[in-house]
Amino acid sequence: MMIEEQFWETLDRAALPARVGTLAKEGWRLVQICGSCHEAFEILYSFDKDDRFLSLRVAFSKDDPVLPSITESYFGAFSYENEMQDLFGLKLTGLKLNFNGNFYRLAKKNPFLDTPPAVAPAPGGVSS
Amino acid sequence: MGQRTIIPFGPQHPVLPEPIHLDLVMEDEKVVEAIPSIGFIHRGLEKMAEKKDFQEMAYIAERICGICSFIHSMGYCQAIEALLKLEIPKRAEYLRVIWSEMSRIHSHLLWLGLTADAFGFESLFMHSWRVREKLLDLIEETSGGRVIFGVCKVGGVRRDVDAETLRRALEALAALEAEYREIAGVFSRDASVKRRMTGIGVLPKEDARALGAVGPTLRGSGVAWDARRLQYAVYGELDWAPITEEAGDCQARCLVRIREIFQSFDLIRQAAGKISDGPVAVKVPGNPRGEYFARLEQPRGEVVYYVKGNGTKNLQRFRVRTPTFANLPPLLKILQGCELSDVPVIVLTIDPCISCAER
Amino acid sequence: MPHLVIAKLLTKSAARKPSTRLYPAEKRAPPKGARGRLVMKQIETCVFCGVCGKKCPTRAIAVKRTDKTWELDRLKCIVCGECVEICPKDCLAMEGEHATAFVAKKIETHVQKPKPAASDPT
Repeated sequence: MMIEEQFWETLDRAALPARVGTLAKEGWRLVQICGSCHEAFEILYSFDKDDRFLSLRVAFSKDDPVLPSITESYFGAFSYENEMQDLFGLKLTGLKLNFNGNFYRLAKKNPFLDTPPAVAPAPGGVSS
Repeated sequence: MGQRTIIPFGPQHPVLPEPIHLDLVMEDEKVVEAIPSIGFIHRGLEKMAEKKDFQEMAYIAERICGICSFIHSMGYCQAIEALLKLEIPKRAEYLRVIWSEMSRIHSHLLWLGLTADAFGFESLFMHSWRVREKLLDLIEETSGGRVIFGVCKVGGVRRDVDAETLRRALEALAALEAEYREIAGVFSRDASVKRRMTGIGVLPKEDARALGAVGPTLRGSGVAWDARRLQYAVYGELDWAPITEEAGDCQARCLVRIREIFQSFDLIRQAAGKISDGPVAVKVPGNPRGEYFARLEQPRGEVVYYVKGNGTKNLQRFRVRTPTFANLPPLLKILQGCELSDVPVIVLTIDPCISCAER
Repeated sequence: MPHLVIAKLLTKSAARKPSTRLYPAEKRAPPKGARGRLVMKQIETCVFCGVCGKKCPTRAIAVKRTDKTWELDRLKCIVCGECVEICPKDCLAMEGEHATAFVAKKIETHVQKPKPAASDPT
């Protein structure tokens, strides 16, 4: 079993476009963008170059759900950013291809924004 | 400039049984722009990980997709095993490789059939699926399930394949390879197939890289990136190299998959030759803590598993970036400027699995 | 460019008998070890420990110790076989043949008959 060494960087969202721009110039490939929201928003941007794996971590409060887009450097990021916009209700500034909340057709608006209720015991199992 | 019309394509379409909706902005017969929308079958599986036991989650991960099912559960298990720093037995690693290559062959054969159907070559479609059916029987014999294998668990695999079954499977695979060779010949040489695929939907190398294409879509444009190069499981001990084609059109993507099936047959043979005896699973120690990205190569391309555990039996965040999701931006790019009649073939050549993309 | 490359394949195919079966008249024997459906093999030996219900990833099994019943919601069961592997009394089995389609939701209940009271030897 090989456990890959992975690198992490934490940065402020204001510094994100500049850092991503540098990575794009250096030839890194955008692997994925992962949004998560528990106590605060945490967005992870992963890049890959010559088998090196780097993730940028951007965290900010739920009260201010605004994030600069990275579509300037990586145009293909629009799908991830539209996904975050639809699932978490984030506002992406400078998004080059914005579907304005119509990328995901969902029954409920921003379904991933709610924190899940406390774990309820599942039915079934044993009772005596 | 002609008059523009919008033609809705999907989510219910005769040639594309995938729930994606595309608004095709047309100028006469040419597509100017394609606007996608998905979410018709979004199941919120990523959220489910926050309520499910991490070991039971392997079954759910497998059900993200009904075609590349095994590699999904394998990816999930690898991510958790990395968090637990768990060394799994060599035999389990080899079995995982054998099963994931079987799953690749079955997925690619399914794709070949669907593509033949998309350009109206029904008998080729039937023949591809005839061969695939025999492979499904083999999968059932070795793993117990036909499409959902259900054999991967955190810490190894759930069942062993005895030497006799493995020997019979290898014999059957050799017979299958001969049958498949005839079908592959039709795809790579027949004039009517070439006419529908050559020069259609060209994705240049730079665009493929910049838009984040993965899998055969990327390799069809000449970029030799294959997540198996990361040498997870035992890929580092097997002799293989990523398959690439230079043209970047539909034909190139098709050829990549055709050659990958032969490569998978070869990888199964190599793995079966090197497999050693021993246990197939280890006990799981404790709960996962920390975060990790596991990357694997699925038939459709690179899949990324992100898991974050906080030391409880529920994961804090589980995220899957499926290959189809990464292949959507390149798809929108190659649809620009194509003919309306080529849209189904082009959409199919990225091997879309929208159910995968909507966890 | 070569035309009709498929001709050879088609000729072969025409000379051969069909690749399909006349289902349901003709059924395939499931391979050994296939996971088709879960069955309660022998309720008599069950000790109602409930391990199967706890291990079940979809909570399809409900065991009631007081009533001596073992219930299975077949629509929830994903035929993973965890319960069969864990059962200490070997009461559960996995059959290769798949369960047939349903027209209504139903919970399968197996009840253990009360054991005849041991006769007093004296």
